[in-house]
Amino acid sequence: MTAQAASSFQMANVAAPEPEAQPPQNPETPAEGQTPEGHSGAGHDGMVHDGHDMAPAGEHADGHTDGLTETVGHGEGDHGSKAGLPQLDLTTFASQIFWLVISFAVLYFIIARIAAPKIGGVIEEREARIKGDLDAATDAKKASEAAIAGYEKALADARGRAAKLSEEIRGKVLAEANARTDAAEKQLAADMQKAEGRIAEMRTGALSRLSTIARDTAADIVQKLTGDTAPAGELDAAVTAALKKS
Amino acid sequence: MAAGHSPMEQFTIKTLVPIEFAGYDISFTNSSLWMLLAVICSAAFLTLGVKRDGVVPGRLQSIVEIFYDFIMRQTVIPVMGESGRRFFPLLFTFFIFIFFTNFLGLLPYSFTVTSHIAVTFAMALLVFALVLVIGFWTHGLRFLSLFVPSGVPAWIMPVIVPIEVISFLSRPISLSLRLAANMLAGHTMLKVFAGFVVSLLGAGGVFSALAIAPLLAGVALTALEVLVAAVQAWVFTMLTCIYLNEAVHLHDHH
Repeated sequence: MTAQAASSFQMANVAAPEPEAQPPQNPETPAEGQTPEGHSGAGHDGMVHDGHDMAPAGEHADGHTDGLTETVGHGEGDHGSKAGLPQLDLTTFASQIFWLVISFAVLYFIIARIAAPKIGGVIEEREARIKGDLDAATDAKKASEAAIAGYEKALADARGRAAKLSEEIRGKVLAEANARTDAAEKQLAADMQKAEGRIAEMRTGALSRLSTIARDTAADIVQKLTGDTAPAGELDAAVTAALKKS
Repeated sequence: MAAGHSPMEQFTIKTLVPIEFAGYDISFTNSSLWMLLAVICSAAFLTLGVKRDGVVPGRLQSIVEIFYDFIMRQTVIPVMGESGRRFFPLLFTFFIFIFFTNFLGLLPYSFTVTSHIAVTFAMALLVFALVLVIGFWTHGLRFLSLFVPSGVPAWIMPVIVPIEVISFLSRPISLSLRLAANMLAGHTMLKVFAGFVVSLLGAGGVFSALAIAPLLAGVALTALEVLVAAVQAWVFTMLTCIYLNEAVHLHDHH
């Protein structure tokens, strides 16, 4: 049924777009049909020429021409398309579509199942590898930066500790020195005080002995001059008054 | 024979192995042969060059990865976003299949599979059907709002909606015709210029010397066709991507 539809469609098609191409197609076909026939066609040609030349061979020629038309008739399905555009020969459509479906399906299967996953896999793998390498490089860079930062921090810490330590030691030494100076100064002050005390003691001692000597001397002088002993009270008063004046 | 060569003859489909199944002529033809060759070449290209541990890619693998990257990261993801990943195998198949059939078609005496509207239209219909299925599957009847552009005054709708519907329906046609017509035109031009070279050489004398002109044109055209072969493969993929994106995301951007 569909075959019928196809053939009627073909007729319509052949008639419609190339109404003028149709008539010259028929006279052309035998001429064209002869040439591709190869050796047999050439043989027929020879026969036909013979037939023209020699009348008695007419029967033979007729028989052969019958054969010729028959072969042409067979070929007409193929050659009929030659006059028009081969693209519009609907008799070839079934075969073209059939083989298109097969080859397209095969190629689709190969691409969908084998080629595309494989190529995509390789590309993805490469990208993953590159990304992984880049990530690793970034990580390594970060790690090295962290190490540098750690090293610098350690260095700064050490510097700080050293400074602190030297400050501490200096402070301690200074304090010790100060303490020792202070002690020495205190000792000196104490010694000086003691010495001053002794000097003052000696002075008061000497002064008190001086008044006794002065009274005794005064009493002696008074006795020698007057022969009287001067009253002790007067003597004391006079001596202290004299001492006070001096 | 050479004189009888029409520039269109290269597009003739020749039966190599006649096969008939359920009344259909599904013969193995030169078209089928070049389709299979394209599949074999692309499969070899895509699988042999790529090594599992190819973290440092070789030459072939670099090219494969450029193809992959070009479709995945410069076409699918920018157009469809991350949700486009599930369509990648299909879109990549479109690109690779069209690319390889286009390129193999440039070889002398080969056949350009994609110059036939049957092939390109079948692929475009696959895209069209996929858009419809995905659109209605994900959005239900709301998918029909595709034909109602947002921010358009209501009184203009009776005009806009039919235009949108027509443009939607004509997508498979434009998608398939663009590719087939590009291949057809390019290869016809190459053949025409090559034919000039042969006829001028055959003419002899001064004409033979003139043959250099169409030869140079043919060389330039070949370079252009290499570009067109790649660009058209990408255009088909890109448009498919855009259509699928509409089906998945409707109006809203991903």
